[in-house]
Amino acid sequence: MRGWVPWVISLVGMVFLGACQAARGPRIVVEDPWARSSPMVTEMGAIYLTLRNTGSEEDALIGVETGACEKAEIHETYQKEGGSMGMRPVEGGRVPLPPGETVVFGPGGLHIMCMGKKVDFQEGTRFSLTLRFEKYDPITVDVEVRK
Amino acid sequence: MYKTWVQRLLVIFGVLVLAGWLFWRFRPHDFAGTVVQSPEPAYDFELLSAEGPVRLSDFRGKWVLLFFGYTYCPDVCPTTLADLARVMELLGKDAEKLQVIMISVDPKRDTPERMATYVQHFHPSFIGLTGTDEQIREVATRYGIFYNYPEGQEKEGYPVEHTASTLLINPEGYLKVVFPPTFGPDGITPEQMAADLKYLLRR
Repeated sequence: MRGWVPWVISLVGMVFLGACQAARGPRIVVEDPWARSSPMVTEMGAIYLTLRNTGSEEDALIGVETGACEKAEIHETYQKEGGSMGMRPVEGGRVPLPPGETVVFGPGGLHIMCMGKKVDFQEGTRFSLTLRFEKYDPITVDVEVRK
Repeated sequence: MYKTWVQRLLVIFGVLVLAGWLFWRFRPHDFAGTVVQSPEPAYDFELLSAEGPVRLSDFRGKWVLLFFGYTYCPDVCPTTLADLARVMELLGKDAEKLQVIMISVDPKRDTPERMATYVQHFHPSFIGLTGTDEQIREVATRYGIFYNYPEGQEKEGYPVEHTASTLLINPEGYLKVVFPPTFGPDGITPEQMAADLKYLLRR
């Protein structure tokens, strides 16, 4: 008579385990993607955003692509002793995203360097940017050019 | 007796208000930038703008904000120029007493025309200057600005390492304040920079 009870329990269990499985691994959220307005006279531009890994496993940003630039790379601004500043591609071409942490790409720090701008970075211009991760699926976001 | 007490209290109150106002009016300003006392005028450079030669001494009577950068710089320089434009906005009418000048540390690529188009994107009043390698080296050295090309100058899009401070020169031509960059852990905000300038401009 109660023969269906074990079935229900195992079904609920499977669904629960499945949910756990889905929650495991990295989960990346992209916030506030924007680019600094700059004149067309310069080939270079910078894109900023915030990455949050709300998952339970480490991931890494390993690539960026946009039709707005001939080439886009992950760069960082560094400060040397004595105060002078420079810029270089990030080590290994990847930015680690530890679980539960927020990584900010902002002025004077990490940024996506746009080489060979193909659109005018005027205030209000929008273009799409695709971010590639080691584990998580690629994310495409809408970047807004600001002052 | 009572009436005189009221009068006395009123006098005391009046004196307190006056003292408070005087204290507020002449309160010491807490500078965000580093104030310097220079014994001699700042180096009077002559460099090239899109409209011809420009000397520092052309701006006697105005406060000059001097920044060294290059137009291929995507992060530090546009951030600084955008923040200097914000400072101009914050100063309102006082902005007329201020001239922002950007000097290129990359004279090989930065022509006077390129510099002009670049800086005017951020504010129509900004001036961009460049010169020969020797002239730029001389100006940077005299102002304590370091720059070099860590990857050489052959590869297209080579980066330039450079000091990102902004220097303030007073209307008599003396270096007055050195501002740190407007970003990073030790950075100051355009609001802090504008507060320093307002204090100096109104004295």
